[in-house]
Amino acid sequence: MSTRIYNSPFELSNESLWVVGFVCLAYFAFILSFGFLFGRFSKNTNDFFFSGQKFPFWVVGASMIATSIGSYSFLKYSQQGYLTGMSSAMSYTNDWFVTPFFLFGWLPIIYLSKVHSVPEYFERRFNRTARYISLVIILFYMFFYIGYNLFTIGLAIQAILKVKLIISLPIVSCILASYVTLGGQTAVIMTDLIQGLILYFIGFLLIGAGLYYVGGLYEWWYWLPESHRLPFVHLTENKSFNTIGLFWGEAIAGSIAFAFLNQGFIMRFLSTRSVEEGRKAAVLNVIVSLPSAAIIVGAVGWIGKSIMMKMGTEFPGALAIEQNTYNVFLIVAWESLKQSSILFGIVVAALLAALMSTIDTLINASAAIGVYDLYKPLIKQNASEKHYLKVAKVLSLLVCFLGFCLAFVFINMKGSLMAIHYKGIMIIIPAIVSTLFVGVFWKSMTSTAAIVAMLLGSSASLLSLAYPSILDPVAAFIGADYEPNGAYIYVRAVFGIAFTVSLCFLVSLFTKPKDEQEIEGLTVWSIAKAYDSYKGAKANFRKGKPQTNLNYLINNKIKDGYVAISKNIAEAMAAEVGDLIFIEDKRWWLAGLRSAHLKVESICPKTNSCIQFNHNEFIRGQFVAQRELRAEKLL
Amino acid sequence: MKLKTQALFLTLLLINLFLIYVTPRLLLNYFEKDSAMISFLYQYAMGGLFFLNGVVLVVKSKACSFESSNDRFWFRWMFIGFAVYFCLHLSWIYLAKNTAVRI
Repeated sequence: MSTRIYNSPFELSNESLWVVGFVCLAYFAFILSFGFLFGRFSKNTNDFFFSGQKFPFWVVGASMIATSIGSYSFLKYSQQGYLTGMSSAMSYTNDWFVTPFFLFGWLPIIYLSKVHSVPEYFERRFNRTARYISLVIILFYMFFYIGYNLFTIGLAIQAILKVKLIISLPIVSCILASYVTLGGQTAVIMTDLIQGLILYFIGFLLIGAGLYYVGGLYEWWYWLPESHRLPFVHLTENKSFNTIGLFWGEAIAGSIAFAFLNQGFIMRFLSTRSVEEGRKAAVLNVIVSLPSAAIIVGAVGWIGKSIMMKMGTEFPGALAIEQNTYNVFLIVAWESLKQSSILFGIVVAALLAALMSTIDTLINASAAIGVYDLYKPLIKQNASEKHYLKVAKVLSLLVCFLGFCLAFVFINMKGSLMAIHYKGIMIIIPAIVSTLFVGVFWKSMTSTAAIVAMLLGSSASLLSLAYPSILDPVAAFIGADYEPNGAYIYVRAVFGIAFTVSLCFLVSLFTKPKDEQEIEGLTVWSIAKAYDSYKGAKANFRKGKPQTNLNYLINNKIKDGYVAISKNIAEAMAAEVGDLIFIEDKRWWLAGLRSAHLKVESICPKTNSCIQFNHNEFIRGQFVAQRELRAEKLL
Repeated sequence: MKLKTQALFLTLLLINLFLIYVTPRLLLNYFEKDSAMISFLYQYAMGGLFFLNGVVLVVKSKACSFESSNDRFWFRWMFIGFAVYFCLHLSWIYLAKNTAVRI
């Protein structure tokens, strides 16, 4: 074992730097080729932004792990894990409380109402003014995230590879721009899936190596202080990391913002083949992906603490960790991997994977907003799909460039990374999130209330920066400890939410809401009708079984968008004429990449395992000749 | 809004506000200052309150229809997920407090 003592927070020899740099470049090349591979599946804007709504739940749910781990997560949560222990997992394990609102409310509403973006929902639920106010706030939110993520990865690359931001950021931005622009959402989801697998691999590799270093699982647990073993921190004691703050700021405000407002997250669910698959993906995400993410990003810190307790100053990186706990991830990883440059290079590649998988989602989502909320309604309304696809690609490039420029804005900001992150988010999101939430769940909310709430709610959040004492009563009410000069991290979000929600109710009491017919399918009170209007006929909820090993027949007499099925298939699937069915290549691992949503035109009296559709649908679905198919009734 | 709905809404709002105010104070008074249960109970009391508000809303609005087998399935899953997290955190605390520690 090395006895090297670190003089600076973290540094590699020149030889190691070259190896790590080479592994990172190889990783970039791999991701780029993967992105290009899926570029051919984007034929129109629906493919480009929503992958043609063909993915099964496991692809979306598993790819979410890479999206939920940002570039800063490894460094931030390892540090938190080292300082406060396993309670660092709190942010990732407190999302279940929002589930009823998402599974039965927001998910079916956005999926069935066929809205493409959150601002578009605002126009249909309220009016055009509300749409454009929300658009401005959402773009602030998205660009803040893109710039911040690029900035943090620039810092990480600078710390590890000694490459300056001015060099690393253009390279990373160009790679992102290339595959997002060529492949769209399909490339985003498939690269996120592979990057998620890389993150799992690296996470568990580091945990294995770390546990081996400390002497095994029992030794790790044995040396971990009791305070570091607990899943929660104290209710109020730690000013920057306490249960009350985390509950209101992360479990409630953060989870609602992520599930309801994050366009990238929403588009991920819209790319599933049905509401049911979206629900499965959501549950998989909260039960499996998020806790796994918590372990992957925090475990190195937990192990680091045990190593320090056991070895004390004998640990080679002890002094450096004491000087700067932010590098605990890098030091523990480097030491527990026996200073292997190749393995460490793979770890750094995982950091890059975390970055790219968060930003690619945001870039694609921002481009979607650009097309659906700016270009289509304001610049060119009735252009061809080919034209919009071209615009989508140009906008993806533009968003990348803007994000790159914004990353440099963060250089001059004061305070820790976490403080910058929370300050930004807690100011931008509360007003719009609360307005959206009340609008979805309360049908009497009026358009005027939405506009007033968003404008005044945002202004009040900004005002709390100038007059922080206005946060004191809210902090006192929820039981958070008093902080002089309003230095609260999470209370600003609670204040923003409480203020905006009150405005929503107050203004709605004195103004006239829209007719119920106008907002049918747009609130939780009329979801049953949303199913019918999505299908264009009465939804069929009878339970049937998906059918596999089906042969197909090209029949050009059948209309575009329709399919004819035999009687026995219809009976097994409990399908009727007019029902919506999903047909895909039988091979499960293709994850619906070769598939089509079609309506049943007719049911043939013959009993065979054959379905018929026309040549256009065969081409559109990108089916392969002679390959057997699988069919499933959706509605 | 109908008067009955208004009254129901107002009652729920007051109950929510009352519990948000009282819960942290009660927990801090009842348990020892460093008890691991304070944070656990706070998260599940407040989270449970938020969760139940959601359940009441989706049932009352018929967004969750008990006639649909899919909805019944997901309704059960909501509670199972809640219970899974509750039990996981409780066992975690038990393990942390009741296994040997090197001091």
